[in-house]
Amino acid sequence: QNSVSALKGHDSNAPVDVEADRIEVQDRADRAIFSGNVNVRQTDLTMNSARLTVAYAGGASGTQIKRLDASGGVTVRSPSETARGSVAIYDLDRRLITMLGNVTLNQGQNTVNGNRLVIDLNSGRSTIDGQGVAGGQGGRVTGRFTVRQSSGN
Amino acid sequence: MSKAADLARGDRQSWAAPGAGHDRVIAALRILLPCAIGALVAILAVAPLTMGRDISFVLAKDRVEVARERLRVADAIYRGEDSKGQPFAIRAGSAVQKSSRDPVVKLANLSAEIQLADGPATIGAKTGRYDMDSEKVYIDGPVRFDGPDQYRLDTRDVEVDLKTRQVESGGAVDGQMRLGNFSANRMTADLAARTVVLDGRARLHIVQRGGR
Repeated sequence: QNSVSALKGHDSNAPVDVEADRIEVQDRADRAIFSGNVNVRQTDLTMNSARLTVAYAGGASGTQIKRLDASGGVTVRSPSETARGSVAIYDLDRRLITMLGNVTLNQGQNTVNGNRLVIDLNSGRSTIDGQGVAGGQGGRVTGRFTVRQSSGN
Repeated sequence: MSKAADLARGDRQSWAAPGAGHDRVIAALRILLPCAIGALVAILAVAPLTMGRDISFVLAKDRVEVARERLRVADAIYRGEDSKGQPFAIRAGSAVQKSSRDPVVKLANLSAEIQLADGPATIGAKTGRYDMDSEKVYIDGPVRFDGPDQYRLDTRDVEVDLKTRQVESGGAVDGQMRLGNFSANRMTADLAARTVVLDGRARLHIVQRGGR
């Protein structure tokens, strides 16, 4: 079973669609604040949360999103996995999705829990560790893996 | 009187003699004239009531050439001041005010200029109405806001309060700003602070350009 995420090589430059109950765009601060069941979609990556802040660079050539900060119960979905946590930071420049706060990651039938999850969109690797947000001593990482029945019996 | 005396008088003298023609005429007139006066007074008193055909006329509004509006101006400019005392001007291809009681001026090809802290901003639209009392411009149809630092907001059917420089959409609205195009049930924007607030099923489609 391929453990590399389908998000490998995900195009962070693709258009982003956001829906929310309320959007406040602050042009001076190059920031947009979304609140109320926020749903973000970029090609096959979707993110749902209660609140979202988008920081973008509005150069003359056009808009470029720098970072998405989602909070208030975040669910990140991709074709190959679903990750839940209380906070998620999608850094489009470094192409990293970092989730914090009792994170669970479901890949296929495997479930892994921890404090911090980092999905690297370049390599497609997801790493979970127990590292607390404030870098405290390691928390526990638990996981439940299902082993495929050997096809013999 | 003797025959000779009669012959000696001329015709006129004999007409004027007592009891002759003149006195008979006067006697008749003494009766006829008062009767004629009485009859005339009676007629005058009764005449307006009995007069059938009304001879007065009414100026028919539709038949006379009536100007449809009170004020029609081509290339109109309306200048005013906003809450901070900064001037604003509204130019219009044509401005029509229906009547003096109606403070609303219907504008076509209008462009308003307002002063913002960091530069002038213009508001352009095909059709709109300007309420002189509330100093608000009601835009019907598409409108474009251009502000400093390439700030651009395209939307439609909004109400622009030139005094507070706030924009409000009456109902569902869609449009475009540099961040992307948006749609929502309601929009309010503050041109000075350059913030846009979208309420109710708000959607934003962000197309990213420029290499990372």
